[in-house]
Amino acid sequence: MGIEISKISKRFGSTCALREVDLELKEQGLYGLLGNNGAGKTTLFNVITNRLYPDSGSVRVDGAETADRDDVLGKIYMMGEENYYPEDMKVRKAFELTSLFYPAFDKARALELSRQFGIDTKKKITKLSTGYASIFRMILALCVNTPYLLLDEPVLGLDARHRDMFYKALIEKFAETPCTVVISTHLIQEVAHIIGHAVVIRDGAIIKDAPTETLLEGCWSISGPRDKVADFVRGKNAVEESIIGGLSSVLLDGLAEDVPIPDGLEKQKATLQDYFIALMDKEEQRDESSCSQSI
Amino acid sequence: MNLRAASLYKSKNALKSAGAYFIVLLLILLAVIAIARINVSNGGSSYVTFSGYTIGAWVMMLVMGITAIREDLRFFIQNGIGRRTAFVTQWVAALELAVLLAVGGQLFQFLANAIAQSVPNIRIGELYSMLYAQGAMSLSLWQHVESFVLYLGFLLMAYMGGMFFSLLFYVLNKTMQVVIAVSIPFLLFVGIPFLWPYFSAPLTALYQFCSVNSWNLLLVFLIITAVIGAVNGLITRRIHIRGL
Repeated sequence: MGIEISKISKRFGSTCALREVDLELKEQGLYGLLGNNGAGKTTLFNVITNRLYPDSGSVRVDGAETADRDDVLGKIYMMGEENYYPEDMKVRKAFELTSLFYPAFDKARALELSRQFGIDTKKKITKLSTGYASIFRMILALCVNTPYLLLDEPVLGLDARHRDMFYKALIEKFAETPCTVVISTHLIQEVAHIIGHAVVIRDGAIIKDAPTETLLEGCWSISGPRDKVADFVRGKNAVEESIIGGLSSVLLDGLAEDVPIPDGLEKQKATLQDYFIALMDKEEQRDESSCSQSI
Repeated sequence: MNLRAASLYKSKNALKSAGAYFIVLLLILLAVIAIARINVSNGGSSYVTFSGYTIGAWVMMLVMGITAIREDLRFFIQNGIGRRTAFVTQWVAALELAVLLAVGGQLFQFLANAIAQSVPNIRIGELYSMLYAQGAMSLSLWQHVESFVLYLGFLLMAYMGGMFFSLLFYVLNKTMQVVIAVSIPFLLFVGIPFLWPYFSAPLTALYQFCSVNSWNLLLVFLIITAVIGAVNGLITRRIHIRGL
């Protein structure tokens, strides 16, 4: 059971937004959908929730196709960046109506979160600032209690305090009523400690899909004087190198934990963000080299 | 199909819209009565005529059709309701609103008749009485039934027509939107007069057919509604739903 995405492709004119995407989102997992701008994250969410029809492929939720089926679509709640509510609808009214469509919606919790986040429930949704519009959608997502939750840039426009409150509320919600949560975000460092599984998407294709622990296994950041670092990493799988003056930092993949480090060098466990940046740089270099070869 | 939740949401909106329309109409009617009374008290002998109920209701249905579909598709998909249910809900809401306005039309006719008893220089008319009852203020029970169903067809056609234009402009790109926007007045003011010789015979036949009785006109309304409704269904089926 879970969400099974098979061979999904989607084009917008000459742009290929999704290329034969295969992905499985298991029940009660915390996923991070990571990718640069225009990688296809929102399009993938829109296809899963049936807002967009794919050109080919299928999406199945708990074994059933999503295509225009209310019983299946009702299991997924997507919090996106765009507003899908009527222009004159007020926050409180939206809470009331959500109970109509999602009987498990916890209205009391929604009002409590509104109070905590300081959102005025008498205000029209379209009159909310970017940050509060995100908070409004986030509150709905946290209280709707569907088995699958897709959060597209959930902390867009939120200040540091509200972001922290959101992550805490999300963890609390997950602990109380476990569900599948997929977070698409650019703020990788902030979600790194929350997600258990990372899906990296680039140019509409999934390039990594693994538990974060597996991805970062053997990934170490070695830093120190440039010459010493160069000597140490020679013959090893250096994924990315950054040089500042006489110092350099290299991200190594496949390095055993117990490998001794020469004096003067520092070894640190690579973060998900380091890994993501290195992966993107590597992919870009590969594209450039294949491009120059073809020329 | 989660039709219950979607219909409940739409029904509340339909009731609110109909309520607002009735209030506005009532205020206009009061203003008309006041004008007629002032006219009489000033020794005037001219008639004050008001026949805005039908056209007002038709315009309201058209506007509801234009505005509701996009908003509903967005709101429904956000709340786990697919296109098919959204489309069926539009029919349910349109029918509900049409029934309310058609009943309102009959009540309006009763009211108009009662008013005419006390304010003699007032003429209040609506669709059926003007077309098939020589502008009579008082209708028989059967005439009210005919008037009611004629309203239904007329108003449903307006809703589906509004929905069609809304969906059309939703799915077309900017260039095609401009082309269509220019084509409509062009067709009305240039195309139709130019093509009139070719269409005058069938249109005259259609006019004669509709003049026979209200059921013929209703049939025409229902055919147009069914055709536009089917096209709307086809467009809705594959539409991409975008947020604001």
